Parts: sequence; C-alpha cells; structure tokens
Amino acid sequence: MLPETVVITDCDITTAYGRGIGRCWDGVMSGATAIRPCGRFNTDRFQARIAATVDGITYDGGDSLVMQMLEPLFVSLSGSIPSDAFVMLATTIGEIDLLERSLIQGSGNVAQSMPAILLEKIISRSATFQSGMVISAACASASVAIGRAASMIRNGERECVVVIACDSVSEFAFSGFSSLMALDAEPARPFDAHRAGLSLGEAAGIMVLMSERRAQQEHRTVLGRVCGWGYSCDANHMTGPSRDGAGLAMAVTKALASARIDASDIGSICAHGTGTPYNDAMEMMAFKKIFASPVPVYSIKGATGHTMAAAGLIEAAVGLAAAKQKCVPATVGLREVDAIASDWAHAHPVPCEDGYALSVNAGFGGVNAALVMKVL
Amino acid sequence: MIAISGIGWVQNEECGCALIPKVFSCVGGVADSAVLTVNGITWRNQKNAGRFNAATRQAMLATALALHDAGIADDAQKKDAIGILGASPDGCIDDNAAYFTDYLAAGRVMGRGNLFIYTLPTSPLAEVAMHYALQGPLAYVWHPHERLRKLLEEAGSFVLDDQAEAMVALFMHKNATLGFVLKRRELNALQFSLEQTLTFVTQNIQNV
Repeated sequence: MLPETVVITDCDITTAYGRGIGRCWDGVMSGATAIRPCGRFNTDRFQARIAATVDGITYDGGDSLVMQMLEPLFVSLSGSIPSDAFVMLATTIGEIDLLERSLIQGSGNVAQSMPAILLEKIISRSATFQSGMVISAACASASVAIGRAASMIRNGERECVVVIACDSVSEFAFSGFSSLMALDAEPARPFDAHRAGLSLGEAAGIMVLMSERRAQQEHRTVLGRVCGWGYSCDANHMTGPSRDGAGLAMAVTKALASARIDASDIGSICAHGTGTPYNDAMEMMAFKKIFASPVPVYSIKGATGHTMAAAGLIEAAVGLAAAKQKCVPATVGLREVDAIASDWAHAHPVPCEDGYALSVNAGFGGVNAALVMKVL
Repeated sequence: MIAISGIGWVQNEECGCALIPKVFSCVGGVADSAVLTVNGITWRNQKNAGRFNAATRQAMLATALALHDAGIADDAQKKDAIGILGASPDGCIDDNAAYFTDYLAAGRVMGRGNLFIYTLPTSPLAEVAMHYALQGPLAYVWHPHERLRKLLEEAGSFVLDDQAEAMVALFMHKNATLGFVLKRRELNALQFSLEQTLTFVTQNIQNV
C-alpha cells in the first residue's frame, strides 16, 4: 500500500489574542504582546505577575478553563469534524482547575481532573464515535500528537484524526513554574541577549488531519501538508535541556528524513523559543548542527506566552500562515539579539523562502519534537 | 511486524523476567542489588533515588528487568535508538494532589519545585530515560479501552515509523508495573508476539 499524503483541512485556535488563526497572526505581526497583568489569582508572592490569558475565561465560567476555551472552537468547527475521526487529546494537566477547586473546597474529588475524563467530554462534544486517546509529552504534547496523527494517516491506520490541544493558566501551573524560578518578571524575550525566563500563556486548538485522497473526495479545502515528524529525548535533566542541542538536532534530523527532504529545503523555523537562557541557547546550537547557513527563526512565546501542551498546535498553525505569507513574524519581545542567534532571529518581520516550514518544541524531561509542513 | 523482545514485571513483593523466566524478591519496588547483579541485571541505586516516588522506583526496576530480558546491556552504550512510552490509569493525579495540597498548606505562597516536576505523567518515564540513556521518543499515552494492547501497539508504531530501533513500553498499574521492549520481528530471535505477551500477562499478573 502506498503511503498516504497527510493534509490539514480544518484548524481553529484560541489564544490570548482571541479566537482564530487570523487574529493570532495579526497580533503576532503587530509586535504587541498579549502578555499582561494576571488577575485570575493572587500573584503577589510569585516570581512574575503577568501571563497571556484569554479574555472571558474565568474560574467562575461554568466549566473548566480549558473547556471554556474549547467550546467556541467546537461551535466554529461544527460540521467539519467527521464522525469517524479519531480524537487525540494533547494536554499536560488538562482540567487542573477542577483539582484546585476540589482541594480548596475540601470536596476531595480530584479524580474529575484526570485527562481521561476530559477525553470523554471531548469525544462526546466532537460527536465522534471512535475511542480516542490522550497523548502527553510535556510542552511538546501537541507536536507529538500531530506527528502521531500524521503517521496513523500515512500508514493507512486511520483516514482522519482530530488533534485537540489545550492547557490553561492556573494557580497550579503558575505557582509551579515560579517555584522553579523559570518565569521572567517582564514579558518573555526569546533569543534576546538579556532574556530571563518564560511567560505563561494559555491556548486551545483543534486541528483536523486526513488523507489527501479523502480530502479530495469530500472537496475540503487544504490548509497545508504534514510532511514529516521526529522525536527524541535528551535523557539529561528533568527540567533543563541538554546544553549541546544534540537531542533536538536528532528530532529535526528524523523529521527531515520522515519528510524525505534536505535541510536546505527548510524555508522557516518556528522555534520553541521560551525565553529561558538555557532553552534558547540549546535550540540555536541544535539548528547550527543541522543548517549550513542561517534560516529565518522566530518564536511566538513572547507574544502568546508559553501555552504548554497547546504550543505545538498553535505554532504549527502560525507556521503555516508564515509559509503562506512567505514572511516570518518578528520575535515579539526581542530587542537585542543574542550573539548566538545573530542572523537567525530578528526583531522585525523577515521574508522567507518558499520552502518547507519546520516547527519544533521541547519539554520537561528532555522531550523534543519536530514537524515539517508545507503549504500548497 | 513488531515483536516483544523482553518483559520485566514487578508485583507485590516479587519481580522478574518473562522470555527467559526469572523471579526475584523485592520490597517497595526495590530489589536486592547484589542478587540482581549476580544474575547480570544492573540495578544501580540512583544517588537521587530517595526522591523517587513509588511509581518511579517500580518503573526503574521493570525497565531494568525488561532490558535484561531483551539482552540489551545497561550502561555499556548509548541507547539513542531506544525510546520509552508509558501508560497508567491514574496518570499523575496523586502527584498533582500532593503538589497542590502542599502548596495550600504553605499558605499559597510558594510551591515546591521538587514536587511540581512530578506533576506530569511523563515524569517517571523521564527519570527512567535519564537513568538508562533512552534518547528516542518519550510520551505518555492513554486509551480508554484495551489499555495494555493499545500501549504495545502504540509503542510498536514508533518503531515501524523509524522513530526508534526499539521502544520500552511501561504499563504502570496500581497492582503491578510491567516493562516491555519492542523491536521489529527478527528471525531466530527469542521474541513474543503481541498475543503471546497479552496471554503471559493474563496468566501471570494478577488484576491488571
């Protein structure tokens, strides 16, 4: 059986810029960050007091934070998600606010926050009949999920997979990242010479992937192709990346091989770019192991915040938009480019070649994931 | 086609291997290092093992046994072609509750980083990956039905997709921890099929 070509037919996202890929793209291109003072809980004692939260999403919103973000996406994609689609939920801590509430109120029902429960809700809400699965790979969750979905379709295991990614800015997550001294008191500045940490953000996204053959049969608009994917683990440290970037380079190498292309075919790179000193340095070392000359690199985490499990899906959507526009956005927050990223990352939009788009993510535990995509 | 090259199991106060049957005693997921060493299984007490939770200790042991059963030497070579996939019914719900309970008890002023890093379902897998230098793919997966079968199929998919030459699959249940090494089927190699593996578990591991 010949491998199937994997295409993205539908995608919608919610970020701190609002709902829609267009709104996120316009926000990132404007150069204005969506990271602002966080009023969802008391941040006085934490390392930072800012985050990129979605307007209107509150602890009193009648549902979990992630479901409040996902509901408008289900509405907008109503009718677009095939009933036989296999649901893949990518999240790190899912409906963690339910656990918070349970412990604060003393009700003891923490089990309701388990991702397995969220999966059931999502399958029901998406009106699909397949059993679905949860996939979690720290902050590379969505990228791994998209790669796995594409693999299932390429090898004929599935015709259609819908990836649903989400994570929220909760007191749980915020306090945790603060305890690790990972937050910058100022909005994150990826690849900046004076970067000092990340800013948390929240987001949700739904992406429908299917075989090109089926998309043609159903006369669906194709947003882009998922051409290759690669994964690795640094196996080095629970929270810090490997200093030499070898793990991420391995993931990128696998993705290029999966896409059957050379490094010279890559026109743009959406980096993980958290704004922490170690991550950004590691990424640049990884890229320099692979690419013989600078490729336009950008990060949107200074704009949308670090959206944890959802980052890979949000960034894949933005990566496709950049490839379509043949222009990568400025790295929002970047003012003085670190020497290690000189000629790669920019504080202004930059034209990019009409090539393949690479998107990479990394996460706690040393996970690395890389996706290669192309607009048609 | 995928086959299982090694199986390690930990249940109650026993642990062992399956393809080349061996049984050892263990307490709380910790086996006697000397006994394992005599049998060619390297189980080194990590300098940081004191901070491992029970799930991680059992995952470490099950992986040691599975790698030994598969004939994969420990510490003798980089294992950049081996990844790890894990599944557990409860994810990390207990660790999530422990972190936030401690945070509340401290007056919602500061969380503990050493507790927070375990609030991801991939954390035990990452500890195993670090210890055994498993540099292939790493992820937690959960299927609502046929959980063990789906875990093994999923792990096998990473091998068939050329993301790894072998995958360790860890099934972390409250009643037992099972480790499997999956590779492409090899001629004349001692391997179990997926069905043989599931039969072994059904017949030998209680209440999983």
